[in-house]
Amino acid sequence: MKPQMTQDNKTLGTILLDRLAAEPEAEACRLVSEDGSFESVSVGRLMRKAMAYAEHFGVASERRKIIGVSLYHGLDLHAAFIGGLLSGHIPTMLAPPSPRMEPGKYTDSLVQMLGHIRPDHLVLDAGVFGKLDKLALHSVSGSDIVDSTTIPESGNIAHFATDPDAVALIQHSSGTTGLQKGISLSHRAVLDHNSIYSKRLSIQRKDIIVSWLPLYHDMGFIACFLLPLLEGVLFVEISPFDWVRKPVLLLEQIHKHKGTLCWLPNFAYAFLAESVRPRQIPEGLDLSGIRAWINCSEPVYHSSHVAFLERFGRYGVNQPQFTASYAMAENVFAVTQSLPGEYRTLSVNRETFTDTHRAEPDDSPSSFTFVSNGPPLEHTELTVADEAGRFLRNGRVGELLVRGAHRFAEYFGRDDLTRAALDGNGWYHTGDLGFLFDGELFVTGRKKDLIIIQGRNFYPADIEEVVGRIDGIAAGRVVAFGLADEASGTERLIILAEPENDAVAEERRLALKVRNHVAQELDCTPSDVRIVPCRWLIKSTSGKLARTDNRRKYVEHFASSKQ
Amino acid sequence: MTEQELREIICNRFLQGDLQFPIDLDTHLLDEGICDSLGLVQIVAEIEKRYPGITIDDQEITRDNFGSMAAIIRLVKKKQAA
Repeated sequence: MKPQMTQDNKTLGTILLDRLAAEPEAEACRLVSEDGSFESVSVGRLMRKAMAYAEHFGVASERRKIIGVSLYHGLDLHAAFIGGLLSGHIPTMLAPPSPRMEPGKYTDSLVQMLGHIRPDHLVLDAGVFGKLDKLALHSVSGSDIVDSTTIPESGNIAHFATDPDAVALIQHSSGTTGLQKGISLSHRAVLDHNSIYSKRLSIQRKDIIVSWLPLYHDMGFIACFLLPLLEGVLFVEISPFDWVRKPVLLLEQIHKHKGTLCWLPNFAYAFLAESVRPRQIPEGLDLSGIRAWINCSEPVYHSSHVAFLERFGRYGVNQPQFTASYAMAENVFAVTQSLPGEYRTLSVNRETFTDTHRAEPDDSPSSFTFVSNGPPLEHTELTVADEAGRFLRNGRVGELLVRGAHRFAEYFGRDDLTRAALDGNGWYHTGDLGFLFDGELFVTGRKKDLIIIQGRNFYPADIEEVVGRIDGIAAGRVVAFGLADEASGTERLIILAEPENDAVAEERRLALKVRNHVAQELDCTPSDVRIVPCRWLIKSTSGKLARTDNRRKYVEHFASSKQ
Repeated sequence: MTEQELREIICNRFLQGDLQFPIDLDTHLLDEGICDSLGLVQIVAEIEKRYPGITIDDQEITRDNFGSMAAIIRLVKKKQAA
């Protein structure tokens, strides 16, 4: 049954222009600096800057352009993206270079990105722009590389025809492999998602969202930027780079701005609990104003919530505030969402679960405990299927399939990938595993080859390719995988690699090289790198290296003896 | 704080306890993929636990102050002298 969606002609751009006309002086957002001070940005100022960007891009005609926005946090990050919407083009957020990347590598990194995405315009910060070999970039893609500081404070745009069913924007996930899959989302899908999601969480204009999340990832982008901007909700934005160095900044800012909603990946609960020192806690810290902490983007551990509650309970954190969501860019954002006061865990019998893939409630000490991600949102269908595609009953573990009004239209320009991901009945095969119980979703694992560390997606193939290119490492003899780590509330990246030559291999020096390359090229820190003897790694029958088998071998050989 | 002590903290936390891992005093911990920014915060917590008289503010966890073992030792020594 087709859901009743909004049938009007609104697009993201027209809604923002309506907001500008209605309340130009309203506060759109607050941009927090490293020292905790903030800059207030009005709707008018933001939209005027966006129009300057739109004027630079030129209004869309027959062909709609791709606008790549690769900026650090600030007014331009928002304005450039909105400018892409206002000019009728298709904007996309892209991760800016990590602070630990050597500036000499910016050009190579962007060449790779441009090779996949080919934006017509790419907006960069002056600091990055100044370090680029522009000829090299231009020769790859012909993109107009824009220094954000050259865009004035306001501009003029012409009116253009809007089609709510057209692609509004593209979302990418990280890594080279992720850049090939640009998720196309229509205006109607995004707007309906925002409306339904707001309704689920009872989000109102008086809510205040506080976040440190990057905007090139769906959680920060939708929940903490686009949704509040379109719905007229104030959002307070901390740079992720400032937050990692000073985690207490999030709690300070929630207190200071009286935040009511905060989205966080699971690891952040454990990290905050562990790393905030008592003397850093501001006098009178009060977090009781939070209506909901929304745990999302990676598997949820009950123990991470427990640690967070133990540490900050005396400052107003309480159990009814905890919620969880299962979300993905392929569904705009949220697929499920639990409600404040309805936090739920389910303990299941270990043997039944492992041997028969069934969730049988069991409170014994040896049971597995899962946290509920809540029921599906309206206008989204969620089902569980076995290997053959048959739908499974409640309590049975299988692959999660998603369909509905918020589902992505296609992977931009990649019919092949789209056909592989969507079946004939419109179901998106997520590659995630879980079960439904009492109408709620419990995510249990993942069959797709993806590593999620601190809420960020990493494709093993990308890591293996980078490592395989290192001098001294045998190309094609590298395996990367994640190991769930409850203590840190996330996964740890393990890399196993064989040297070109056992005889001359200096394992430790090679391991250091591997760490350096992965850090530089992928902005990722391996937890463990093992240079194993030649032919140690297990190949599958197809001749490719088997990640699952090698993970098992690693755990047998290495994990039991250390930590 | 000695180099040996800091090396133990770093190797135990980030390098599976391998004290022979070839990091020297000037190895850049972030850029070389030894630990990430969250890891630096964890090193601070460990130092403050071992040396209760020392406090290191988050603003001091910069690439210059905390980039390498040499930088960390310098910072700690400065605080011990103060």
